[in-house]
Amino acid sequence: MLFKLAFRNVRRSIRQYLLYFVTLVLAIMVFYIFNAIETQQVILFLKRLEGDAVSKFLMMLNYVSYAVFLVLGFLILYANQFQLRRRKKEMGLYTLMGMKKRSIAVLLLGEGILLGLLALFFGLLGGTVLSQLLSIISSRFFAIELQSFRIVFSPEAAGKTVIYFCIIQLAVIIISAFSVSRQRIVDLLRAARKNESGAEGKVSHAAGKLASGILFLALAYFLILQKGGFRLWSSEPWIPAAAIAAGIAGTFLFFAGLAGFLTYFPQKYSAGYFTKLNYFNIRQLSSKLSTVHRSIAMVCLLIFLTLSIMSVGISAGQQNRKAIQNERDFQTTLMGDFSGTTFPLTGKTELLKGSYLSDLGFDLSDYADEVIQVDLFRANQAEIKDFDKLLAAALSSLSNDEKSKWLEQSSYLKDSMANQMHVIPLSQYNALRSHLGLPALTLAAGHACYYRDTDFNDENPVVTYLLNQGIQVEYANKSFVIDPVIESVPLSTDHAITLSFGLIVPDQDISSIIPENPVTNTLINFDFKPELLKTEGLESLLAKLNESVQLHNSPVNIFSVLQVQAREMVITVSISYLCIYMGLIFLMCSSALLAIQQLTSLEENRRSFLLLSKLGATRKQLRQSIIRQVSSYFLLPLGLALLHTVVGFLAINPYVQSKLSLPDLGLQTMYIGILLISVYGVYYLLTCMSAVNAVERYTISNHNS
Amino acid sequence: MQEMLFVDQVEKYYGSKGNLTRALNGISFTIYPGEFVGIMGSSGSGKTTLLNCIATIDTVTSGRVMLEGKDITKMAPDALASFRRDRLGFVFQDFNLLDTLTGEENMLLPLTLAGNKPKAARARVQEVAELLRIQPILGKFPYQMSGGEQQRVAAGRALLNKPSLILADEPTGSLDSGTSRQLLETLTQMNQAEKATIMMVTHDAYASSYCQRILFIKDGCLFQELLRGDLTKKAFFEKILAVTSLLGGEQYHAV
Repeated sequence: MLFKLAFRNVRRSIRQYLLYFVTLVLAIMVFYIFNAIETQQVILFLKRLEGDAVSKFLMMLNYVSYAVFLVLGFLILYANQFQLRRRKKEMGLYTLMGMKKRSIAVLLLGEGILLGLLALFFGLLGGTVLSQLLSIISSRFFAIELQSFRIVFSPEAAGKTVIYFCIIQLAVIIISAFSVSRQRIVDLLRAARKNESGAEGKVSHAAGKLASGILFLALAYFLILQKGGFRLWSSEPWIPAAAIAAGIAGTFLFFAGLAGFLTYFPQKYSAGYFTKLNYFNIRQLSSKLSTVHRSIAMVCLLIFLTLSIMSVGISAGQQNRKAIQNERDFQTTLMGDFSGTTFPLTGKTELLKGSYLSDLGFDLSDYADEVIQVDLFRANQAEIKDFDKLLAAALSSLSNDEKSKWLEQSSYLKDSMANQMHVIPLSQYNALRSHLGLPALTLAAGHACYYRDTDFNDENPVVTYLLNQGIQVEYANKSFVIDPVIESVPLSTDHAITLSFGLIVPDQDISSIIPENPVTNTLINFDFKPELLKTEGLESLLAKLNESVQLHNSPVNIFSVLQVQAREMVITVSISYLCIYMGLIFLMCSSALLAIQQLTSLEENRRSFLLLSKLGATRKQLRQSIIRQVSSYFLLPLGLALLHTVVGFLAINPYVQSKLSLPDLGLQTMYIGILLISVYGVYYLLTCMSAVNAVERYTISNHNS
Repeated sequence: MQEMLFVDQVEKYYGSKGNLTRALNGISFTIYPGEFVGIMGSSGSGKTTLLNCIATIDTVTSGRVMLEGKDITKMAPDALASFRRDRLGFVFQDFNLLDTLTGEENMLLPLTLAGNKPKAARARVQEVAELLRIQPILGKFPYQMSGGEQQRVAAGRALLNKPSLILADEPTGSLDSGTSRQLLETLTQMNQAEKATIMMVTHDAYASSYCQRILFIKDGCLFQELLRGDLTKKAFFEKILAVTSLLGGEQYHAV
């Protein structure tokens, strides 16, 4: 009997309480997608190349998913409270008819389980489909070629989703049962009769709030547009702090003032006020605003946060895409410690079949037409001539702060000289330069050149100073004058192999400054043969190479463009994924909140609509009225949030364009627009539909059928 | 005289074949322009059903309801809405006013729903408010008014669009005796000064003593009709009480 009742209630629930069901399904979908991120093509791609970084990212996501779980849990609880309020009278009737509290709890349990199962089914189904879709879109976005496409279902993610939602559903049921059992029957039965008290307060009060709200907002905008208030980590932290505080205060005050102000202002100053149902719509809106203006302000800020977060996420993705497309280095570098073997010290090497690296497990000439070899030798101990004297001269003119910095740097420099100095043969370095289309570097006899990787492009004042002084580096039996230029052509594919301090030395001088058995790092740079690349693809070629290296236990590491890309991508992908997901969740919460509030108040105002219809309002008039109310309710917070966002964009854009040479604003706006419409818009439409539906149920024409 | 309302053999059945309730059982009567008619009957007699059928809120099973010569049982829903708006005025027991609107805005509703110009509409509100002496409460919200004030504003609203017929459903039902009297005097004034035709459903004998004619309904049929004529209100009241006691539902009443 109870089960039958529960079943019927759920069937009715799905039709009538669509909103709650949709929230449940959407929450499950988002949660599944979030947890099934491992099945995304982009992540699969990255995992093959940078397994460690990806697993770290996934672990972090796991923690974030708890936060997501909490947020979604609260959302579902809120939606359920709304659901319960609508059903108070029904619960009252059950109690009145003598149903025991325990039976009601069982009833709620049954309903919860049924509804939960249905929601899980649709949510997981939708989640799987949407996850695939996202996978395709994001791999396009990050410019990754798809492996063979197939539907991927993640059982772990599904399992986690099921468990978590059972927990939420259980909490919902317990709270529902508790809140029903606490109520007196009278209150339950009378629940429908409660009316809001009207908006009271003085005009001047409301106008004051509104005006100060606008002032605060203006201040926030001024700080952001003119004073660089968007630079959160600037040297003057009070400016962004003030901008944020003023923005928040302004938003809250604006909505608080608007509620009261709407009540008084329009009737006197607007000709259209008394036309049609305009005054009814405005009064309804202002009365609603006066009770919920705080949460409207919250929603507004949440939408703003969403839009900002999403634009960060999307521009991170776009930036990455740009970086990938600009890559110009070698496709592959082999790095090994070849101390025992001797390679010809020539730069460019014409490959003869079978003569090069064949003992390492593969014949490189099968893969490449030419290689550029770079040998990094560890040199003997060295010193900079008159180092202490030069330093002392420089230090005398410095402030204390700078002095300590200089001392630190110079002691590091001294250590490098003594122990870690790498030398690069000039001919090999020039081979690299010519590969990039640069003219050859020439060194006079007894001269050397300072090498530093591009990753260390920060100004090191000590080095700059020393280079400008025309220093000499002294080895036991040889010394070099250092030319005052810094060379920094990449030595390999992977920028992670970096030198902060090296010397480029004429080939013939090398043997006199390295020990007899030098420690050598050899880098062998090459591009794959174009015809191979075409038929097999970069990824599978690399895999093949890797396999044979592992098989023969060769002392070689393989680095590739893909890895470089992957390492950078892990960061940007994680940022953009996280941002977009968080944005979606915030958006979902705020729009669900609006929808629930709107429908709740509609329920409370059903008598108003019944009365209007008795007074002769046509269905069309009522429909129009409710749609206008819902629309303005959804548009108000969105409008202000959009204004906030536009101001933010205006402030950040010139900065971003100059510093990061970033991206196409139009495309970004389009992506955000699509996301916004697909969540906020869906909730708006749903609310409109259920509101119109509800109003038509309240009106008397229903009796005629 | 041209009749205002003609109810002709109206029947209203509820329920299915097996379990049929005859709320109205072939009732017929006529109301003429300018009359103030009361409808009385005990609970379940069908008086609210009758009012709902005339108000076009409910449909009849068979029979005709003619208002100014037009059969309202044959009209389409949207035509009915504009018919209610233009030709009928309503005063209900409670929930008469919208909470979020002021008295004036509440009164304006039927006029603006009909698409009237704001200026003319507001002038008409002033005119009616003056007649019913409710100007001081026009700017107030319902929660700032007493129950009687709310009902008088509602009565004023019913009068606003010069309806052919004003329908009042237990208008004194939730008022105390003092405010009841005020409201009934307001209705009488509307009837006399504006020549409004009023049909009031009530089970309160005191309220109905303000009417000129009373129709008693029992089991969905017209049971008796009472004319005030030249009687004082007190005498009419006693006469009403006598009929009411008969209506009480006894099976073996002696006539």
